[in-house]
Amino acid sequence: MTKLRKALGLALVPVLLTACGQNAPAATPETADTAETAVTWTMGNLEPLPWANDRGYYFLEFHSFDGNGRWPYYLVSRVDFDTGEVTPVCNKPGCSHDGTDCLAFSDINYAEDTIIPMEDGSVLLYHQADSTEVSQDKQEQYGYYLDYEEARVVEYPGEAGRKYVEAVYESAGQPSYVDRISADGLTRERLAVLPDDLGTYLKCWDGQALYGSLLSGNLDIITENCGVRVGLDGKVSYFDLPDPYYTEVLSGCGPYLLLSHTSSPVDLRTMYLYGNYNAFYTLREQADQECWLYDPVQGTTQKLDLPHENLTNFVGMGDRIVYTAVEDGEQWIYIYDLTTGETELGIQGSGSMIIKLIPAVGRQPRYVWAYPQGQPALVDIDTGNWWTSDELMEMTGLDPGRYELGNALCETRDGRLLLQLYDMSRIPTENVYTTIPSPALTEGLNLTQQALEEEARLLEKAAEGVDVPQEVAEP
Amino acid sequence: MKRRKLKRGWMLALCAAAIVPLAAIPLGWFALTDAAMVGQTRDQKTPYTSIVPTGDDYYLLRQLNTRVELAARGATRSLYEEGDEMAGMYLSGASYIEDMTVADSSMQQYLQDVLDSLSYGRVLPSEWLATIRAEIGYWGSQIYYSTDTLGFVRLAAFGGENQEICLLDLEVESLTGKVVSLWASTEETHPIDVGNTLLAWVELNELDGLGDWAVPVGTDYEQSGLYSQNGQALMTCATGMDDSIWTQLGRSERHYFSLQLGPRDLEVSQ
Repeated sequence: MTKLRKALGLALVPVLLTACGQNAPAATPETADTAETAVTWTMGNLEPLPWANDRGYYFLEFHSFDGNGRWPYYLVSRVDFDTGEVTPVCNKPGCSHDGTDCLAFSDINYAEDTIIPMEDGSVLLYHQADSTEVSQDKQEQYGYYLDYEEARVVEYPGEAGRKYVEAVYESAGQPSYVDRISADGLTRERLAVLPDDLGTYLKCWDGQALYGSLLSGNLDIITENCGVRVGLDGKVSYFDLPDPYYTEVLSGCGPYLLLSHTSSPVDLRTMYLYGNYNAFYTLREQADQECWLYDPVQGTTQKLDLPHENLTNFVGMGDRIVYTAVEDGEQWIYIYDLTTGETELGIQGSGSMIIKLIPAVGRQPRYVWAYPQGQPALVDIDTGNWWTSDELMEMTGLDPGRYELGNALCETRDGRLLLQLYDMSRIPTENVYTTIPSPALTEGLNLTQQALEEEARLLEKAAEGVDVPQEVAEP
Repeated sequence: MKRRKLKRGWMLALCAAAIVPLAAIPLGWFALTDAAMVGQTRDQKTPYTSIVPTGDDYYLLRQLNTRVELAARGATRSLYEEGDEMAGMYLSGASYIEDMTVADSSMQQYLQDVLDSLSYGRVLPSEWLATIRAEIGYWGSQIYYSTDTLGFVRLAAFGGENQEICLLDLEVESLTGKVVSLWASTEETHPIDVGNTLLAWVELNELDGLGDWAVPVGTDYEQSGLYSQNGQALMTCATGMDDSIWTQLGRSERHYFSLQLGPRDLEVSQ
């Protein structure tokens, strides 16, 4: 009987094996890659980064450890709109604002740091770290001076020298980060840490998050590029950009990121990597700059069909794009309206024009700093009116023999324009700050159509005896 | 004794009668399951996919992918850093005249043969070839060459009073003898037939097996390129103004002819 059982067992083996084979699980497709790039957030109305809030205008202020320009460092400082006074955003009791322990300390280099003042009075500081290689070199070099006091006192003598060496060493050890400095200037917290070896360029925000790109490359080509979103809750997300080797995030316009795209009939990046430099530099100069609108949530790209070619630069301002183009050998400034899809207002300019956006508190920016007819001037893109440096200087009422206009910095909520001037009577020259009534508001002719309509509405309401809310009175 | 033998015989017969049907069990099982399957449809959990060629199947494209990857790494960091692996060191060849080697007669012959092969292959139009040769002859240019560590050879000729004009820059993958890029700057220009030139170049480079070369609609290369999604490779052919050279009279008004094959990941409109 035992033999029989064995024989039966052997005969059944193939049957059982066949049955097992039929139940083998099927392989599932790999989904990890798609999960990583999936966008799980929403995006609001994008605006350029503000650089100012109701407390003032913020910038990286130059200081030096020896007080004479040697061994520099930079602090996050605020210009008061009423007094023109500049103060670091640190209120820590007893802080001498001359080291990395100061809450306003930014870096020893004037790097790519970006200041984002919030409406609640707090300030975000985005700091971009050096590459890993540079950081390591600095830590090695300055770590040596920290370890060997005898060597340090020769190269970096005194208390100022010691503080400088300490600051360089500590700064080099910092990652790329976004910090929040509280409105009272008493605390500073780290909101987010970003990858070191990729440059992060934050360009716009929607009140909930900052947006920009993370890229790597050299002056000629991009080797890596992706979009980045830094939530104000500290969450960092990355997203794909269209045609990333030829695309840069410039700004945000309403529901879109504004991208510049370089277009050529030949793959220029490959041409460069092949070492075909003669051809590369020839074709790069001929390449077209295009303006793309990108929705990272939907992943859709819209190529703007601007009526001009040879765009030299463009800036996003709310629902408008200001760009310059060459036409018949002349440079012109144009404004493209995203809502109507039309280009309006041409202002003739000349020379190489870099357009700088002048931020405004509580409203969409209306001014850019540009070079109409070759002169540096403040241009109102609502009307096309512009004011030269001399005209702005005249509005300050200050002595033009002593002061020289440096920059227009921002427009305040109550309709003033903050200017930075050089006091030429001081050696070295000193920066001073003053405000003038916003030029667009002082001349009746310069009022925008919208402002005129608003004014008419207010007058009408007033005539009817209806209370008008105060905040609508702002043009 | 006889009875014992008979008993054994019966036992053997009994065993055989028991074992033989057992051996038939699998046959019966398969017959039953087959019968149950007939007329039924079942979805396959992993769908059938045909074998699609990729760029990795082609030595030339593998070399170009490696080259671009390593050159991109070298563009942003040092050639070699402490802690790097020994493998993957890439040195690009010289691109400028002062760092290149003067070609001897055999290298000059090699260049002539490469240009001829492009011309016979209907990739380089004969009038363009004649113009390029005439330019090199006019300037009495020497031929220079350089090599990179992946085996690409650059052959170049320069013109102008100070050798400031790059008349020709051509790169060949040395093992296969295939041209991967060509740049020529000339005073004369000729019309080109982009579509046919590129189809001929696909054939000459023996990359037609990728099977999906098509115009990359909706991209920057719509007018100048052919793209293979399977190979993630782009070929372009373009002509235009070469106004990069400054002379006493202003920018020069020369013309260029460009061919390039390289790795590229494109999103093509459907």
